[in-house]
Amino acid sequence: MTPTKTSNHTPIAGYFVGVGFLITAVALAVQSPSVDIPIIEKPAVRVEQIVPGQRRVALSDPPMINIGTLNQRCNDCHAIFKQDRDPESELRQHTHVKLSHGNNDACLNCHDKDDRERLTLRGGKTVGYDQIEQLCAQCHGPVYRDWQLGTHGKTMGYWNADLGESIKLVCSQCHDPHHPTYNPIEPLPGPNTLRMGDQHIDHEMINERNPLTRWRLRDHDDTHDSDHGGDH
Amino acid sequence: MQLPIMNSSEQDTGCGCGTKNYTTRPGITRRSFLRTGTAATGAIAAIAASLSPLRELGDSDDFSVTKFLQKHYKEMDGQDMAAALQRISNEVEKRYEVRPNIRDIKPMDGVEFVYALNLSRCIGCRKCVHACVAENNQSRSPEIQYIRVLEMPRGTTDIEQGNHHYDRATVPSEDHYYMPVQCHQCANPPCVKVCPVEATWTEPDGITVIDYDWCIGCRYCEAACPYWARRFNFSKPTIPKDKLNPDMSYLSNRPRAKGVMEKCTFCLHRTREGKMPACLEVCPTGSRKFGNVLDPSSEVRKVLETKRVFVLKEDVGTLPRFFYYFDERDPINEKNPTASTNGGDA
Repeated sequence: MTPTKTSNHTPIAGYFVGVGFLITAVALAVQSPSVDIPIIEKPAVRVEQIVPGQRRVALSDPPMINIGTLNQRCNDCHAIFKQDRDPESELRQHTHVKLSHGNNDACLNCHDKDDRERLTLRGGKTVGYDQIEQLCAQCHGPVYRDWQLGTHGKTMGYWNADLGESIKLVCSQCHDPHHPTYNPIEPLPGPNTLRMGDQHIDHEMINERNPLTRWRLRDHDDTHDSDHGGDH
Repeated sequence: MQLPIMNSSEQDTGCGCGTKNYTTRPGITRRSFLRTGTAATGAIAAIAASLSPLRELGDSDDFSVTKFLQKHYKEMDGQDMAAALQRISNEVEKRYEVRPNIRDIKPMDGVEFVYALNLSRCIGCRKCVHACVAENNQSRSPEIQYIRVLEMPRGTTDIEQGNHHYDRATVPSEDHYYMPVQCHQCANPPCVKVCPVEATWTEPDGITVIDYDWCIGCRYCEAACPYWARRFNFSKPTIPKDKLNPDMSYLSNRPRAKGVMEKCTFCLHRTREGKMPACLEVCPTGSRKFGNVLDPSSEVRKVLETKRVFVLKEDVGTLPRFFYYFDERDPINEKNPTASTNGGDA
């Protein structure tokens, strides 16, 4: 009697389990397992925005400047045009130079009055344009000290001198000597994430900042990307 | 177990009264047959259905038998590694149509990498973030970035007040300073401790790496990291073919699969060959300093010796190899001395 009793209970369970499995199976087989992921357009970062390297090109030694279409040395003109004091009125030549260097507001503070291809130091000595850091160091002592140690400025290339060349940039490869402070620049686009603190987000932004959000990849030829340069 | 239907056909030659057999065999009734049959069919279908996500693997390169049987990085000998690199190389070529230069670069002797970042100089332009993405083949969609640049109000180092979604026309903002955060390559890394499968470890040169083929994607390490430096591939990473960096190494920037963790490796494929990391090369302000801390003449060593240095969340005891430092105030360079004096309380 006892075995029949147990067998009376099991059939119902068996049907349920079987039918349950079947429904699950059908549901899993029919439904796509992938989830809908929101897609948004996102400004692409252009290749030229992340080019490694120095910030500006410094004058070579001896310095060459471009007049019209010709590259000229300073003394090509200044051998003839002697000017041993700062101009009292507006510059008639070198008009692209806008001097904004604090109290240091006279051309001949730095440029040598006798040899325009040299820079003048205090006490009458001159140095070439390839030693510009000695000129800057006369006023910017702490920064010069840091630069010598390597804690100010940018060193690129190889950290290991045995394996390759280490390129230590000098003052004028980052700073414009006529306007040494930097203008603010445009930042590159931020991340798509929900993490980190109070973000003041509205509901549209929640989709944008869903960590799973996919952004539509544009055609990645650079000409096309440049057309969207105004976006960011 | 013999099916009853077979039984009946054997008996059919005699009298054609197969039903008799069913009654004589006490174990099998019509009801029990239907019951067992339904349950068995259902179970087989359910197993097939539960395996159905594997269909997606069929047309992808995420799964292969050689990858499945591949050993842990530390257990691989030269031959195993050559085979693994060959497999990865083929996969990359198939998917991205680029033949990668992939290799396994070992750490150098007498080298311990350290990073230093000058908070007085960083302007928050995010060039490092995107140079890193380009260098390390992170997914572009959905987006994965190793570096997070926090915009911090002046006067505090509480990173809870930092915002990495700042969206300004120009940076820097006068009222903020900028603090980029990435993997700190800790000497006492919580992420390594929590990994249940030892898929992540610290190399002798101080870089914490991941074997992407060993990672099971449990994300314990992501939860353990106090700097939020680890990223998870929630879905299959997308990298445009022409944006793939073919200069790769096994432990750093080879393409990752869905469901594994990834993180900053100090550009291991560059730095172990003597080069600077990509984030440093692109920085327009020279805020980033990288080098071998065991070399007394290295720039990072000079930073540690001569600057005011701090580490983030020192109290959690992770001993980071990533240091933040300041310049002392230079009165000549201050545009607006009164404003800076107020802000300088930080």
